[in-house]
Amino acid sequence: MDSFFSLKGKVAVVTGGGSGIGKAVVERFARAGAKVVIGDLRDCPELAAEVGGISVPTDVTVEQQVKQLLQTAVDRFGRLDILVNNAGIFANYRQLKDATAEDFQRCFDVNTLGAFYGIKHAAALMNEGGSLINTASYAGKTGFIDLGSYGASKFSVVGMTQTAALELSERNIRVNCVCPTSVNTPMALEEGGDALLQMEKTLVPLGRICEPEEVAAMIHFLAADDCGFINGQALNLCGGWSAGLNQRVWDKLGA
Amino acid sequence: MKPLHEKVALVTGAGHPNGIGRAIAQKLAEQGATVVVTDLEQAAEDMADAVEQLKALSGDAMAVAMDVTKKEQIASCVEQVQARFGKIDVLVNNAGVGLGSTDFTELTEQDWNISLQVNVVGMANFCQAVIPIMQAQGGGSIVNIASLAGLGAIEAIPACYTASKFAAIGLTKQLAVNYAKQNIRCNAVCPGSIVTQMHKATLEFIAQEHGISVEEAQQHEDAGIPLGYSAQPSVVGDAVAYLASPAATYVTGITMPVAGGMSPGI
Repeated sequence: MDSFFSLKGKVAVVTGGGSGIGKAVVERFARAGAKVVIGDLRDCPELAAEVGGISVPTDVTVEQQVKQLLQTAVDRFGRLDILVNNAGIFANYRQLKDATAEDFQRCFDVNTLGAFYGIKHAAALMNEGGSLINTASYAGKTGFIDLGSYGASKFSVVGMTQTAALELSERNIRVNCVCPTSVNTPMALEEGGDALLQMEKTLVPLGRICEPEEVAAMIHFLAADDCGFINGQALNLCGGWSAGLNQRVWDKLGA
Repeated sequence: MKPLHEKVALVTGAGHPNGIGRAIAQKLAEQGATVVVTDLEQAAEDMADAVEQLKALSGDAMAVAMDVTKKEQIASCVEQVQARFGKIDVLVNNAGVGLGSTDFTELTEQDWNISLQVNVVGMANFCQAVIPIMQAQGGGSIVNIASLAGLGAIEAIPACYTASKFAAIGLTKQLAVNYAKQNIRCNAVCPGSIVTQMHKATLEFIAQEHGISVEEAQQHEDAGIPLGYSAQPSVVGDAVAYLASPAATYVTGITMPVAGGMSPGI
């Protein structure tokens, strides 16, 4: 991509980088010239070898492991410029009346606290001009039936993103998050999600769900110096859904 | 290959050498696009310079002197571009005016008319002229330059400007929803404090109003920006280049603030 979006000389850490959106980010960052450190629950030596990076198996619910992941990036490549807090989970499809505290705990442990540990320890290690990107969700911007625990954890990621942007901007570290609707990954295709996917094919003006590469492209944009003035944002990646209702919805409602 | 290789992009209001439009045109050309710049007749010389500069970046470029408030001039402009390049992949509606008193009670009918004619109706008419072309060619990307003032009210901004930019965002969302199925994406970029002529005029106004220097007014403004500075126009070009590029194929109907973390209003 030439100078545009270049990540040449940058060192990036991607949590949850072994599959889905994270893997697409790892591959894209590497193509743009970054040294990439993959922090996934599973060790990913093959992917790491493919992109010329390293794999540091990391459970983001354990603060010490997140700290160690970031420290390893600095020890190995001499600096830290980009962190993508992408590791995320989803508990189940349940209405709140049926949800449990455990559902919430699981989502918050990974999605919220995992990102918090990343922000906290990256702040200490990151170079000026760095970029932090959190994978939030469109479910972190608006309500979704059956997604109470997940949505609550992602709303909190959006809130934390904005606070972090205010706190870290003094050191010229930008913090943003991306808010995709359903993405074509193993998580979205888990059992019980058919109704949501069908609904999105109607509600999303583009008429399809999002591809992991499309999320990776937005994260890449936010990571690059080219977008150095975008800060504290929660950008929708929703195929036009947030803009309003399209004709297909209209037709269905009228029928 | 550059992301906008073989794409044809049209940027309105791109005459002024230090304006946002020129910076957008330049960024799109750097990414490989053939760029058409438009501006008012009085900016013809500046546009000629722009064409030279853009040709050096991506091989070809074109200027059309026109007024976005004249529908027939929009039609003629689009015809000229079609005749020369045969397509329009990217439309950037950047032409805009900022005028009128910040004292609401003093706003004139003319202030409202000009603001809405240029910032909203001109934008809509340009979209209307280009969308059939994008439909015929199987898609395209429209980027409307709104403002942080299109997301919330800012005291030192005239109401007619704020209202026009809110309208521009409404238009953007409507077009995103209506044309997504034809693969035409439409997004709005919302610049915050960007160093331009228009911005300088706002600072001068604030300075006068509060009996401070323009430098002090700038310092006050920068203090309200988390990143601590007002940016050069090129940062808007970066956001437009992203939204115009194949990297943003799932992005439509959004508003993208380019404001260093500054929030509009409260």
